[in-house]
Amino acid sequence: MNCWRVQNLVAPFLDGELPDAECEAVGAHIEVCAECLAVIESVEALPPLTAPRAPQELEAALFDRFDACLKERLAAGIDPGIDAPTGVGAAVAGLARREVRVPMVAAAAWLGVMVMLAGGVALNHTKVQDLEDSVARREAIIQALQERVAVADARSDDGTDPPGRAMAPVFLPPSAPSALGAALPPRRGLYSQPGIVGASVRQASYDAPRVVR
Amino acid sequence: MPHSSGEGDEPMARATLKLVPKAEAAGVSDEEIHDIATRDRERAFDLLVRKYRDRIYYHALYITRDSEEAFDVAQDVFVRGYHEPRLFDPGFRTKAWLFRVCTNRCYNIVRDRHRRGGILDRLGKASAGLQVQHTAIDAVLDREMSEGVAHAMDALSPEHRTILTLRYFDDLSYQEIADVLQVKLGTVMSRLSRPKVRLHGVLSEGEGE
Repeated sequence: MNCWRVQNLVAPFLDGELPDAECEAVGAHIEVCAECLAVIESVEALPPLTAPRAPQELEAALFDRFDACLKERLAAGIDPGIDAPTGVGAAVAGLARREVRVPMVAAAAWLGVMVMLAGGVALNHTKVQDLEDSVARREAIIQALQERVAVADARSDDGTDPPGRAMAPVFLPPSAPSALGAALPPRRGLYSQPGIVGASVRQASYDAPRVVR
Repeated sequence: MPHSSGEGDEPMARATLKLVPKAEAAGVSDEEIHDIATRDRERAFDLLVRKYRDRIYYHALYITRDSEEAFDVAQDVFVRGYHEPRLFDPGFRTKAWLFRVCTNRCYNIVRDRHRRGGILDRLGKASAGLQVQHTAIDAVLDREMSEGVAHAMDALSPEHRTILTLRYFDDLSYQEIADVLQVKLGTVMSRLSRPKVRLHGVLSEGEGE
């Protein structure tokens, strides 16, 4: 046991409140440490701490008034406003009474930061969802077009489809790029027939492959 | 706030406080009071007030150094106790709870007083108006606290003064102090030792002057 520890145990050592093992350790330390022994002796020599009390007649009058006042308050059902609510109520009431140590400014700042973080996370999540949907749509379009191109490549020079691989129109979602038809490489002459299936549908095709929007 | 009487769900009636004689309350242990509360919560509360009102009042007085503030704090503590549903629950440390509520209220008062004093000082006004209004009890307290070890306690921090007050003025055990301050027993031991060493230093300085 070191000096710091011993000097932290002076009061319980002198009050007889230390467990036996620690008491013996302190005793062993002060046998060899003059400084700690002097500290313990000086604390032991302190005059007793006695509680100051008012004279009896004053006390009697005081506590008569105390009893009467308490009766009155309880009879009136007066709550001092320090009733102990629980949960959020306790926190709010504590803040209002300044019994909670966290300053209100810090609490408000913390709340604001948390709200901003939550908003940011929600916004980010929505944007990521949109991007994922968009990528999925584009991939579907690309795959469909690749299949069409493969069929077109396999077509014989006389324009007949290979067996079992007849061309069928590809219907693209409205979100497909409007310039998709124009972007297709010209091969056997590009033509377009807008509005063949209603106003919102456009057919873009070269030869047999038809891309319909 | 309604409260159960312990046996049934009857709300605790108001305005039935009949304080029992102090001599009767002094001889009743906390366990007996808890036992009585299972049958008659009103009577148990009466006994509790009688048993602890002096100690709670003086505890508040030693910290606030103002008899009227101490009076109000002690009243609030017991009114709050009256509304506290756990007060007589088995295992609930009623005595520690009373002292804890009292200590916290006193800290708030002392802190507010210092803050108000600081504001007035910054405004260039005298803060003498915030000094305690002396009653006869304040005068007695001032006289007794102005000499010897009690006076030297003024040089300690409020935390050190409180723990010395709890131990040597209010006569609480180490475990009860730990419950009041909501710290570990080892912390109580060290927190009691340091101010006592410091107290010796303050008294020695006083003698040397």
